[in-house]
Amino acid sequence: MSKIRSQQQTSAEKDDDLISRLPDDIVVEVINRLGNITEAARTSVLSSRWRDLWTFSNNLNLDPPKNICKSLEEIRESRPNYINWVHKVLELHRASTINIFRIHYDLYHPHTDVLTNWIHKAISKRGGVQHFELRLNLQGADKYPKYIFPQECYDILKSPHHDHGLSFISSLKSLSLTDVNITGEILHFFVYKCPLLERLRVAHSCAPEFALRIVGPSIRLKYIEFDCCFSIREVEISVPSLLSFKFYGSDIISLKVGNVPQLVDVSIGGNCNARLKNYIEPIINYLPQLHTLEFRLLLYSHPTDDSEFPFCELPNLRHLIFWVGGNDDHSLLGLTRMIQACPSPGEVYTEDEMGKRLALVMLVLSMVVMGWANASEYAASRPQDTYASSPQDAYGAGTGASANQQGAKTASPHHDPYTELRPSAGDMWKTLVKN
Amino acid sequence: MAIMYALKSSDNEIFEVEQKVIEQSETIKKMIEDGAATGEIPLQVSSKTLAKVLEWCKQRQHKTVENENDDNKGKRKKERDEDDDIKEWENKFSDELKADKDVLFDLLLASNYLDLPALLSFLCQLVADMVAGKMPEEIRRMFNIENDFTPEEEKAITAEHGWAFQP
Repeated sequence: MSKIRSQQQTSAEKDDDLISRLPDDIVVEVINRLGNITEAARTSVLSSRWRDLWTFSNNLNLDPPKNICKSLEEIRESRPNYINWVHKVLELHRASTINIFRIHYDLYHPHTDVLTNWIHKAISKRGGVQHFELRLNLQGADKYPKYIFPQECYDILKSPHHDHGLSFISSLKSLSLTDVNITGEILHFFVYKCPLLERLRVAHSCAPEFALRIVGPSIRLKYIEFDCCFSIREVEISVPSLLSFKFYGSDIISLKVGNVPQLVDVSIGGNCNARLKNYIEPIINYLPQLHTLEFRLLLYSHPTDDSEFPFCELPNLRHLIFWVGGNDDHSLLGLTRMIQACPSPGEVYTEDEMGKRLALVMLVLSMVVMGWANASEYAASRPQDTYASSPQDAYGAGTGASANQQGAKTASPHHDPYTELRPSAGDMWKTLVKN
Repeated sequence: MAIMYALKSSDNEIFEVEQKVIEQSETIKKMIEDGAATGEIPLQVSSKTLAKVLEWCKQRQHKTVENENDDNKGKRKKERDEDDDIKEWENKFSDELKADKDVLFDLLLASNYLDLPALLSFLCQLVADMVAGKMPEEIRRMFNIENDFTPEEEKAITAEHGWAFQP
């Protein structure tokens, strides 16, 4: 930061342009913090001094303005505008070190050329990119094939003779890909070759099936999330620095969890056509250390066997969350073993539209959780046409006080921007939260 | 016994400050380490602004010391309470600065000059929050920015970023 200018200037210029007292790098620092490049570009019209300052911003969050994302029609109509605008921004942009690079729009395989061109531009930044995100679904309703992470960019990245690829690899701290198909080879390349990578999130990727293996003492990952990646059915995780592991897949054949002494936040789920055991057993060894444990299970074609839920100790648990989809003949009494193992009383409530069948299952559950259930929360979110005659009948009378005290708490106290995706399959979700 | 230093503002007011508090400023820390800080340390910062700087540094110092003294027992609840306290203090600090933009911008310059990265980053965020979501005319009014573009130039720039200017 330039100190000379700041020393010379005094507060004597009372009614003057306040910001003009500041050196450029502080103004750029303000622009960096505006959140996205739309806001940043808007400052170019303020005065001639501001004209080009935004092009030095290290924040290339290319979110579209909120008001154009209202309907699918608008999204389709504005797509050429978005593409032109991103082109222009990347053309004008001059900062060589990027903190955030984020593309967010409904873009698909037909847009391969533009997307690959943009990734090229990001890779070409001399000072690298710390947080790289492609989020190619705004509403995601168009049924085009998905974009495939480009082989040509991968070739640049893995080439030892390419300086830019090297600075991208050596500065990357977080990688997040949504609705981008990425092969196992490229994914494992990022995992093993990026020395600073702390956060990895892949969602809705349908690459050819591969076994995911993230194992090694030199890996620095703290957060790993795979959401709706149905092509991964074998998983092995052993990362000493790992804090959070979230995996939502389908019919997992094997899930191995190795050396993860710091793991405190786990979310596991998927369509359990195979054995529920495959989802639960691998994490049993880690239960005593967990702070947050979430199951997102679809049990439609899975016969319930209560014994698959373990008797366990959960002394450190702060949040226990179940999302369960099943048929009305499913008994979920096995869940109570885990609920009872929690150290402190909490709340129960539901999310999503519930049909009649869910109300039946909720009644069964309410027997179990009576005494600490948050009746008012449940009542507020319960549709009118359920079987239960009234929440008071279901829960008894003694819960009002705690409900009032805790009524403001939310479903996912640990919620972060990376967990907004929820399973959409199935018409009857229920959630139990011990908080 | 804490070591005290005397800071002299640009309008010759003296502030007696503990070394630990003022060492958060990399600039002053270097002066002390180099032995250049004997007697009064003269600073190119007005007394009004320096008072604000010290208010910030004392609050930060207070927080660090308390954390060091904590044992693990009951730490979580205490941390939560402390976070609330700090949030409240920061809100009050921000509100005062928003009301007096002269001090806000002098403080920005002072935090840059004194090399106080945490304060600089806090203030940049504060200004960014004031700017975010506003149309250019509002931003100009807020900070007395003179529009030196001709109407044609302004129109051309607005057209260049078409949809960035949608309200």
